[in-house]
Parts: sequence; structure tokens; C-alpha cells
Amino acid sequence: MSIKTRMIKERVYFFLSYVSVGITLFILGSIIFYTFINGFRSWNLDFFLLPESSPLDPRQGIAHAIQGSVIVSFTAAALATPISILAAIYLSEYASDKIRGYISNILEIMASIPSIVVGIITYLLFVEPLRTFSAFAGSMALTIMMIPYMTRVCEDTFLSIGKEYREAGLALGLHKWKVSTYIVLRMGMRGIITGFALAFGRIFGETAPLLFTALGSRTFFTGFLNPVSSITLLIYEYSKSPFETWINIAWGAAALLMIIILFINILIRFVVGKRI
Amino acid sequence: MVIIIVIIFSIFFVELVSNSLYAFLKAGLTIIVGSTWNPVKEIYGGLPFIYGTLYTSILALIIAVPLSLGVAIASSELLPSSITNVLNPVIEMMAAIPSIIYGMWALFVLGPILRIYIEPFLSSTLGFLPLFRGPITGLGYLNAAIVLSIMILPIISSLMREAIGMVPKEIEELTLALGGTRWEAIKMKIHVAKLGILGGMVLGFSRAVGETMAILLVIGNKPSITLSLFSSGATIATVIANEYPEAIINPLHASALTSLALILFVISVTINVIFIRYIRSKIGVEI
Repeated sequence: MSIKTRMIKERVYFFLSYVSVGITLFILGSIIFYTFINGFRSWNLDFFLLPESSPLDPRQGIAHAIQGSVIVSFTAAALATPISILAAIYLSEYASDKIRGYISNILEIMASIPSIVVGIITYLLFVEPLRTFSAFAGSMALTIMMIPYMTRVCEDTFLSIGKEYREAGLALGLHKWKVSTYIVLRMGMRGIITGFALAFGRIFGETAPLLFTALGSRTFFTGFLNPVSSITLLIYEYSKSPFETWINIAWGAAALLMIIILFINILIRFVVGKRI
Repeated sequence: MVIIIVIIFSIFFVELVSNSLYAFLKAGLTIIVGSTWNPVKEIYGGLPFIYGTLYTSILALIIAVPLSLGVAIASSELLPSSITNVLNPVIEMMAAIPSIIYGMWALFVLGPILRIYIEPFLSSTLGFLPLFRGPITGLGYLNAAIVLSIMILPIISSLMREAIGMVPKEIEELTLALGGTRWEAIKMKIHVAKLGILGGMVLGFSRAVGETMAILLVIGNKPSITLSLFSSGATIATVIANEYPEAIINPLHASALTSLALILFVISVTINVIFIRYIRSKIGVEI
């Protein structure tokens, strides 16, 4: 091959490479553009303050879904966060290498369970015995999604803290649990917050685990043992519906969800400034 | 707390297995190899869904891998760091967008584009291939594969970028010193990084296999074993999402769906754990 054809080949491949970046950014741009353009159109005061009404009623909103999402996700976060942090402390400070290996495998397997399968498992565990779809079951599904991810992030953070700090603590005569809580936990706070925010962003946008646990509802939250709506469930239901009003509301809900997720991610990346 | 995690995990597994047992006992291997799925007649053959899952995921890989490789090469080799410092987080942010938003975009934006422009064009020019025959609706395997490929692109490209970035600088310098062009140097690097690149593809594939919401709205939800890209289909995840709420009243139907969930669970866990462990042990790094 002459040098000329080789140079031309180089040009062609470099060009293709730039083109793939272009295509990717174009698609991302298109997703964000359409969500916001279509979404902002349906934003008004009613949209944020009123619950669902008949598809013919122009005055309705997604307040019930926002409330449901917040309740279900925060309950899940409140359950998953202490478990994850304590498990991570145990794994990084107390467990032997062998046990850590086993548990890491189990966490990895848990993280790789498809979300729809988590939905079925939660249904079998919490919906069938209680004989009702419920906000509680929805929270449990999201808790299950959150634990492996957050434990892993926290464990990585704790393991990255230098051994010297722990030794310094022990040399001062601290108990091991004090080293864990006062030194490791405090130093890892940034990592914990990052892990929490990313995990929370992830479960906040989940739909599949909620399909047969929280189920969805047309009204505001009525108790943990009753079905509840969420922003994602509402987007799914309304997108399937034949009604123009509801499809527009679904776009509005998608725009809101997108803003929340992007906000969490941008905050993590540029304010906390740590990449996980 | 760790004990809790272990217990939770064992409970999951036992629940899945015990609830799918009924269907396995009643229908036997039909659940895996039977090609008819008709809950009304109590025939539960899961093959169309297994086929649909693998078909969409493979198609998604075919679309996503060249694009991801291009993005990975551009961001690790070609573009200046002032651009990649923005580009990489932006592409990684794609992975954070909830799948239901991808699904909505696919239904209302991609679907019409495919129906009006792309599918008529494909069927009139390449219609002699079985791939491009069938009704033009904008929904079906092609749409699902495109959305899936977009969703798995960020993870594949960032793993590829890391793999290429870990290749020692000497490889590139050697190729250049021997009179190679820059492209040839990059090709050498890709060759050295091929296991890591393969790891990215495998992880992307396992994401695609378990994805539900992005394709639920666009795949058409009709079990079919066909090569046609325009045809409606269904995957394990979509059939569960669609039928489970109604299946609850019929124990056999519910159990058949649970056993499909078990199959999906086994597929994704196998890919994730065994294969990635193999690649990781070969290249000796975290991916």
C-alpha cells in the first residue's frame, strides 16, 4: 500500500470517528430537545398542583404522581442508605478478604438483576402476601434496586481511604468501631453523598419495578398499604393512552423528570466534582 | 447488615424458583422451546420471547458497537482534552436519563421518522432481503433495537475508552517510529485493548437483555420469530410487563411468566458474572 492510500484511509477513519460523535450528540440533543419543547408547553400551575382528571378536562396535573414518586423514593432511600453504609463499613473494615469476595459477588449479581425481575420478586414477596398493591411494596422494590449500587460506591470510597489514617486512630487508642465511625465514615462523607445522590437519581427514574408493586393510582397518596402513582408510571400510562391531553401531560412529566435527573447529575459532577 | 443482604438474595432466588416450579412441572420444557404463546388456550411456549430478547439485543450491539468505538477513538485519541472534558461527562449523562424517557422519545419521535422516511426507503431499495419485508409501522424490532443501542452506547464507549487509554504509550510510539500512520498506531492500540473492548460489549449486551421500559412502548408486543426488522415482536421483559398484572388471576399463567423471569435472571447473571469475570481475570483490571 502506498503512503498516499494509507493517508487517505487514515482520513476516512478519523472522519467516521468524528461522525459517530456527531450522531451520538445529535441523538442526545434530539431527546433533550423534544422532551423540553413538548414538555414545557404543558407546564402551568394546574400541572403542578392538581391530580389526574378525565382526559377531556383541561384542568389537571401530575401532583399525585410527584407526591407518589417523592414518597416511594424517599422511603426506599431511607431504608437502603443505612443498610448500604453499614454493609460497606463491614466489608471495608471488618470482613476478611474471602468474605468480601463472596459478598462482592452477591452484590454484583443483585445489581445485574433486570429491574422487571426485581418487580416480580417484590410482587411475590410483598404484594401477594399482603393481598394489595401498595406504596410499601413499591418502596421495597426500589430499596432492593438501591442497596447493591450504593453499597458498592460506599465500599469503594472507604477502601480508597489510606491505611495510615486508620493506624493513626488505632495508635491513639481508639476502638475499632470508633475508627470506623469517626475516621472512615467522616472521611468518606463526600463519597457517601455522591453515592446516595447517584443511587437516588437512578431509583427516582425507575418504572419497571413499580409496575406491579406501586401499580399507579389516580388520586393522591392514601396510605402505605394502598397503590400509589409515580411520575414514571404516569408517563408510561399516558403515553399508551389515545388522548392528546394525556400525551401532552406525559411530555410535561418527562421534562420534569429529565430536569430532576440532569440536575442531580450535574450537581454531582461539577459541584462535588467527583466521578464515580 | 451483610447477613441481611445474603438473606435477601437467597430469598429472591428461592421465591423465583419456587414460583416458576408449577409452570415447569405442568408445561415442562415447552416454556423454553415451545414457539406458541397463547394464555387463553393455556399454551405457554417462551421461545418467541427468548428469541426477541436476543434478537433485539444483538441488533442493538450491531448498531452500538461501531458508534461507540468511533466515540471512544475520538475522545481518547483525536479530540483535544478541552473538548473531551465536556464530551465525556455529557455522554455519560446519557446513561442517567430514565429509560421511560427513551421509550417516549422512541414512540413519538423515532417512530414517525422510521415510518415516514427510513422504513419505506429500506423496503423499496433492499426489500428483496427478508430483513426489510413486512408492514411499515415505525414500531417493531428496528425501533426497539435503535433505542436499545442508544441506551447502551454510553457504557460501551466509556469502557472502550478506558481500555484504549490503558494501553502503554510505547505501542503507539513504536508503530509511529516504524513509519506507521496515526491511524495504524490507533489500530495497534485497539488490538492490544481488544479484551477490554470485548468486556464493554458484553456489559452493553447484558444491559440490553434486561431493558424493559424503553422498548415496551415501541416493540409492538406480539410474540413472533422472524428476521423482519419491521415486524412487531416481544421480549421476555416486555411480555412480563404487559401480561403480569392480568396473569395474577391465573396461577399457571403467572407461574409461566415467573419462569420466564427466572430465565431472564439466569441469562443476565450468567453474562455478567461468568463472562466479565473471565475478561477481568485476563486483563487484570476492574471494568
